[in-house]
Amino acid sequence: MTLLDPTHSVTRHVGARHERLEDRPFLVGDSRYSDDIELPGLLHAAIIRSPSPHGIVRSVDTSELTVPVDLVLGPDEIAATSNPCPIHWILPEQWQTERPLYDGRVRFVGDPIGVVVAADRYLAEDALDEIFVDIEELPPVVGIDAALADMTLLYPDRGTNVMAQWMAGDDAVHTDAVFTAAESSLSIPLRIGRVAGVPMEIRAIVVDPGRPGRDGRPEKLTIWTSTQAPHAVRDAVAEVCRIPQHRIRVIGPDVGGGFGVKDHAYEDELMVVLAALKLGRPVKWIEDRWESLTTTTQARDEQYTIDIAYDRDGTLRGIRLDAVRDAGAYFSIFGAGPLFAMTGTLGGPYRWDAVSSHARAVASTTCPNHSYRGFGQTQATFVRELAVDAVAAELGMDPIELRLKNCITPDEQPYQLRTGPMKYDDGDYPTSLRMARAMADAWPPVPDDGRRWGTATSIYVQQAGVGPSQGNPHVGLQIGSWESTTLRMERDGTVRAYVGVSSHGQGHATTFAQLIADRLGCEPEQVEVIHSDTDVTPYSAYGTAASRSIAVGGGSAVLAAEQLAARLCAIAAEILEASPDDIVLDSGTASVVGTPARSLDLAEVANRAWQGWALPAGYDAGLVEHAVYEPPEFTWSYATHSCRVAVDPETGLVEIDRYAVVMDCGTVVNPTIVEGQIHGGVAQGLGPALCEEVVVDETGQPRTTTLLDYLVPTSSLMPNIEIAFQVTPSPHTPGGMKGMGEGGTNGGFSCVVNAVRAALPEAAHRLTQTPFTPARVWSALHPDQETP
Amino acid sequence: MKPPPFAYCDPETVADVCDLLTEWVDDAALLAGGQSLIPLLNLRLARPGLVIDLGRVAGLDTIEHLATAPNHAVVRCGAGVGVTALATAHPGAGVAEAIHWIGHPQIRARTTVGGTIAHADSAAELPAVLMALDGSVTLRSATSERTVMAQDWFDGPFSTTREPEEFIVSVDVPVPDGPSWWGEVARRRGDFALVGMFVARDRDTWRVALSGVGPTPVRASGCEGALAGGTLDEACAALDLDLDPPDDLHAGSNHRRSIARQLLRRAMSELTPAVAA
Amino acid sequence: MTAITPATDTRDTTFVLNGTETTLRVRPRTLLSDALRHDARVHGTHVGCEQGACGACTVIVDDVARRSCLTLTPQVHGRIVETIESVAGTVGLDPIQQAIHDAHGLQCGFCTPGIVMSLVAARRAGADRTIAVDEVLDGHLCRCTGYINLRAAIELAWNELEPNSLEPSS
Repeated sequence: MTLLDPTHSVTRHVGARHERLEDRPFLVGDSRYSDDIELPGLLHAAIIRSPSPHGIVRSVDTSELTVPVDLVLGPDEIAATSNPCPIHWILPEQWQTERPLYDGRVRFVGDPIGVVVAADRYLAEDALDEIFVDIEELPPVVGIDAALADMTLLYPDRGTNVMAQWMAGDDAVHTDAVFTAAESSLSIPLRIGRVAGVPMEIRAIVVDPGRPGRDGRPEKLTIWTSTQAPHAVRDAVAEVCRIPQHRIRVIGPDVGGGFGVKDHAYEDELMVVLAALKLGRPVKWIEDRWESLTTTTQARDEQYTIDIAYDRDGTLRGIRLDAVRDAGAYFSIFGAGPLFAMTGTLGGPYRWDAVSSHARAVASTTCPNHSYRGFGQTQATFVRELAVDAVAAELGMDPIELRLKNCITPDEQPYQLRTGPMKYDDGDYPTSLRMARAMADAWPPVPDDGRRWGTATSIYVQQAGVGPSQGNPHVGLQIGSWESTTLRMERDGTVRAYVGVSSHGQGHATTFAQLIADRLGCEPEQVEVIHSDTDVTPYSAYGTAASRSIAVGGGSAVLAAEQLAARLCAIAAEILEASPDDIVLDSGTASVVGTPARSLDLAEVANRAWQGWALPAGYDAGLVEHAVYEPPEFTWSYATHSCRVAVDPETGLVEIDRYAVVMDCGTVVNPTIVEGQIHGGVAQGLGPALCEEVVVDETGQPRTTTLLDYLVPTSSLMPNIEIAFQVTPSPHTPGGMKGMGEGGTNGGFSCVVNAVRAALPEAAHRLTQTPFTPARVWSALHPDQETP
Repeated sequence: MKPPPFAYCDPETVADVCDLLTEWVDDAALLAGGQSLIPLLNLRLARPGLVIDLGRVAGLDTIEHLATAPNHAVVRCGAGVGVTALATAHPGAGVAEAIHWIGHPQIRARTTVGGTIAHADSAAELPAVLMALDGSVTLRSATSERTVMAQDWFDGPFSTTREPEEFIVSVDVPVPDGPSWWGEVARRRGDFALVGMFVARDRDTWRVALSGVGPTPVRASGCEGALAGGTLDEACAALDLDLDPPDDLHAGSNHRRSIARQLLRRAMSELTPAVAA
Repeated sequence: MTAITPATDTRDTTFVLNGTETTLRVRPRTLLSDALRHDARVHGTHVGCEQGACGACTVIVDDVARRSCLTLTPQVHGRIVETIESVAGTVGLDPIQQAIHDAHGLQCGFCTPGIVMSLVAARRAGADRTIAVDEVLDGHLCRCTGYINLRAAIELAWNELEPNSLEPSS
């Protein structure tokens, strides 16, 4: 069908700064997060965890227990009553393709091995104090070097701690030839620190087993949980806890942030489900912040060598990456996926003769590393843009001129990537760079205040809008990338939109309503967006992740709305005795084009559809449309970030003085919401650039277990951000959206890192490990004094 | 993260607190503002048998201005006085500034003078102020009352010379007769200091103490001496010798020394003109 | 002699909660955040860290904003406690809430009630916009907004409070 047929719709809401429709409950305390769910007879769980980073479990001793508890579910019973957790992404040389809830060993401090259930959380924690976990200690494996040494193995029967490895992009022979032919090259070692996602609402699950069915299993198991992906949780519960999928209902009520760490069901949650099943009573488990900073999956923690080959005139020739990711104790649902995304997007917006990566993921006795906003593309931007700046410094070239010289131009689009069967779309990267330069050029001069000032510019092209599904098996991904929307227009013309993607801050209730309202000629307030209830909403394997909601989910909403619009036009045409092609839907009416007097309220049209009589030939009664959108390609949003920092050489403190972003995410459905995503994304970029770091000591004990040790940005660390938009609508997505939720993080991390290095050129070669804490910055400036 | 079980009481008189401490001794924890104790309870790092809530004890919330000698005054705070009230009552600009650096407003509003002095976090602000000014702590038990000078009060990380049956009834914060200054470098505003520094001019001498640079707040005596007669560079060199800062997650030892030197230069650039004037 | 409530016993704490005298019978170790949420069943106060660091649980006690996770329930006996539920009417919003809405100062919304309570207390205490932006907001963690629109919201709200000082703080 023809998209965006101008005779059928008038764009009033897409592109407008529509106020958020979902705000009021959050503002007045009337929201409903998982911990707000209260049920009769509700019991409370606490997780029995390993105090040791590595060992063989001898026993879980409950003989000292004096606290009244309803259940202690130990590891042996858990193992006996569950199937392994599935892993959705199987990469080359990856042997861990599923993961039992318990296999007799513990592999990080906090590794869950059981559940205790009591009348309240206080008592459950009291019980934890009286449960003794006897562990035969094994040596910890902390750090990439220790993991690669293979002296101690996490999985002894595998003979190595390497969990997956692959080559991506050009082969070694070609890449070596490009590097040999190039006039110069640089090789830079880098280390990116481990981060925690830190959603403000920590993980939570409430399990109501309901009444038993004829087979003794729950007739309908209802789960409320803080998740980005309710269907992924349902699938995991069904598989692991051995319950048919149709007897599980997973609801994501209000969800207080995800950022990647809530994209799957954890062992902890699955054990709580097992406990509720055993008890036949509802059980609630609310993670605490210690657990969140210790056992909720973390991210990054990678070591790189980035090589870049170039000619003396500034022509970039080749980029070659060797990357090792500390995967932690085991693979979570997407395995080493972030590192795979990094190797696939390494080249960015530049022309190269060779792009090549060798990637390995290794096991260590630390919390599993997994998804986090950016999903590897933050890392790709980091190493590439840092290397490009290093070339500019080496050549004495302006870093933006160097970028412009090598940037793919619009007339080269769609540009074939060297790292896979993917093509960029219609982006205009040089204009992005020039716009950002103009914004930075307008900044006032820096004061002479004894601090060292640096400016940097980073550009990325982000693979968003994951797809198409049929490409996934070629990269080992076991799930589909499509999304769907079901629309139902009620008799009065109001609309319900059932969407597969979930919303936990992204504003879908507003943006999806804007997309739909424009196609139906109604107001966004007349569209209710319903999400995150597996009994009601369409299947979505991912939920909301990977910057894909508005591009893929939104694409399906546009398709469904256009189908519904076509149906409304046909019915209106029948009533108005006109051609459906001449009907315009606008301002709550269906009217004949050029003849406004021949007009019906949408409610009249809708009512006719539900009455079921006098419909056009071939039309059934009712007003329900379902549309599946299978993205034919990835979408490629991109942005340039520029920032200026001031470094105090005596304290090592970094202040971000100015910040500008030029964003192209295709059609901007709601600029206010997109700007909000940029703000939050940049905050999550500069945090790990400057202050956020998970620290595990050499004994395997986590050291950053409170929010006074794991430092996330506060307001005073966050600069204001100037934002400008380019709009090149996606040629693929219905509606033209490209997706951008992770972009701020991708650009922000790299931009801040490079600005600090630019401020301290004499110490840049020592600033190779993030975050650039005051300690690391100071030590880089005073290399003879101490190492951090 | 829920507190472990403990018994609770909220006595109304100092005498009742003394009696409770006589009975429970070191199995009791004293709850003032709670901004240090309750996090420790929540993490189950503190497991007292009894929590004695001092919030209703009469007579701990007074502030007195005492003249102890010619040109020398002291602000005597009841242990339950909020630090923000001390900031208002104390004439020293540096004292108010130090208090302004305590946590965030939502924390500071609950922080008490007695609580922060008793908690004795060496990275906290008020302990360093007390050290610099030769302040003192007055303790009461069922059988005695005694006053301890700041230098004898702090004896290790989160540790003081308080006996288990004693509790703080008041804290004397002297008033320097010259200008005073607080400066601090923290990773984020409201975090505990990497280094904090209090400097005061008092009866023709300098008083300097630091937080975040040792197991206790540290009085920089060598630096004080160097400031009396030497150059600023000599004072910085003396300060280096006064300090043996720890290496930890947030900063190394020499890094902390560097910050301390910067703070001293900032302090003197602001205080010297004021003293001269 | 002072009465001691044993650890396993409950104790009555009577206070004014959002204008209504309320008695909660809880064990003395019960954090005010938990008592409000699970005993008084006002769920708008959120628990984010129980370490005093994030500010999501901030409520107003006797006109002062404080962390309910760093407050034992018996400590509020005889006091006046206000939570987010008391701020708006059944329709309409308080100007601070309205400003946060207008400036898109919330995304997931989890931290929002605590921030509103801190700002309501700051307004009541006569804090100027600089204090509200630089100090009060810094006592809260928000992971979604990057704070920029929260700062804009404070400017909006304080423009209404201080119509004669419209210049924004830096």
